[in-house]
Amino acid sequence: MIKAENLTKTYGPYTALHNVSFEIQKGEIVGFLGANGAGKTTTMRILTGFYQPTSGTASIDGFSVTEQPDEVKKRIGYLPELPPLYPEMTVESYLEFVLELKKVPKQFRKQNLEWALEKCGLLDRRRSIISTLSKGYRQRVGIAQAVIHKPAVIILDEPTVGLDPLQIIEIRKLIHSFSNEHTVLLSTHILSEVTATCQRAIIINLGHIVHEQKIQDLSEKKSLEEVFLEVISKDFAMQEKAKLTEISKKVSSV
Amino acid sequence: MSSIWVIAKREIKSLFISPAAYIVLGIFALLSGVQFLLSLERFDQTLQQAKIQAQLMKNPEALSFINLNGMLISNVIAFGYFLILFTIPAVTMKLLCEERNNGTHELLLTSPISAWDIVLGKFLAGIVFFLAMVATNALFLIVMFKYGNPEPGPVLAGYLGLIFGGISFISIGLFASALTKNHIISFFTSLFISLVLLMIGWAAGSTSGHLSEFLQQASITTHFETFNKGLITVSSIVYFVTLWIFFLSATRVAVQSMARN
Repeated sequence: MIKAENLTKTYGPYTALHNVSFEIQKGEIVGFLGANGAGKTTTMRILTGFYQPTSGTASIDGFSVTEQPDEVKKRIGYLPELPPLYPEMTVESYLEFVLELKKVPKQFRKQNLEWALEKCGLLDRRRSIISTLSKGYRQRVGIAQAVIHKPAVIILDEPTVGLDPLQIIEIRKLIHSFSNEHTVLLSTHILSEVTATCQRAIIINLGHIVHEQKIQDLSEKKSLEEVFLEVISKDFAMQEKAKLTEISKKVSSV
Repeated sequence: MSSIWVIAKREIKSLFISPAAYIVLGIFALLSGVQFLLSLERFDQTLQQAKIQAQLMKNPEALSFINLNGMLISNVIAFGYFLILFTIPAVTMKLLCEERNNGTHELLLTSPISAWDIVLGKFLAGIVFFLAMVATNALFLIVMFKYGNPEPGPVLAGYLGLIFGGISFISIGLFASALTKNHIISFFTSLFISLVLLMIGWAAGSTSGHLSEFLQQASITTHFETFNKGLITVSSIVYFVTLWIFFLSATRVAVQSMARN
């Protein structure tokens, strides 16, 4: 459903992503795991067509994000890091706007709206003005706008950041309920989030993928935390080594 | 078209629930109302003097120089033009810069709509709000047509000029609001561009030959004044439409680059 091949993204001299490749099957929930600044958001933005990759390709449901962005945009729901909300609107009018924006046919709009409100636990807040909502509720509205058109692929950028433990549990349950029907890619820097909601973790560090881990293959002996620390420290060591050899090359050439 | 309207409809609703919009609308209505009253008083004085003169000199011809169109309506329209120079940037400054502040540009740019839909939707919303501003002048027109007999043609041309000029300021303001996240910078950028387009006309006076002619024709005011004299010329229409297309195209590029950086 989601396929990335050798994605590279540079901002001037800075390389944010370097040859990132992965594949996600239909109905999977995959966690994108990495430290802040590892390249999670950049990858997600490329998959949604918001950014152009410097090189490499990505496709959603067989449609290329660079060649057929409109087809891709019809098939994805995206929650950016900052939920894209208009504070002066009510929950309901905002979601109605999103339905029109996503070009959902008129006869399905009412039905989809009710479905999303119910699914995200917003039924009693439908007439609230967004600026008056708590952070947890805003996040729910953010998730509602990402799923309201029932997209094949849902991309969530740090869906539980800044929420209290109770809200986190609720949001995780919600994300879990999307499996099978939707393919979900979510990013996080919280390890337990991945084990709680995902079937697979993709660990990214310094702009490249260092490890892929099926959650069911984890055992009592080896938790995701240990796997994570191991691959990350190995990666850092390798980067250091590469830097050192480069420097020593330079030195020897002088 | 439908996506343009989706964007415009949401923006219009947001504009009309924001207090800032009503302040702008109020300032415009109040100040143009004051100007209308002052002009009316001046017109009345001139008329009375002319009547006395005509009687004294037994020359009814003297009255024919007193013209409601030239002395009152075009005066009000010209003042409206001066007012929108400052009030339109206050309306347009939020249009695109608020999207970036809310993070909603990510929603718009990852939805199956084009950058043109976004730009034209915002443009349309700005125009609708501006027409509401101009509509506050309807009261003066009702008064004038009820108690006087102005020629409708020049009045129409004058207001058309005001509307064309206003739409130009909107396209400039929209462009400015796409450049920055900061309202104040957006406001002053659009005011600056508008003022430059206005002031190059002044520079025409201190130059000569082709340069003078060029500066004259490049100035927004020249074309507005042509309309306000009651003349609808092809060259002025072409000037305005070119200006809109130029700034809208520039806005589209700016919107697209919001996603790239």
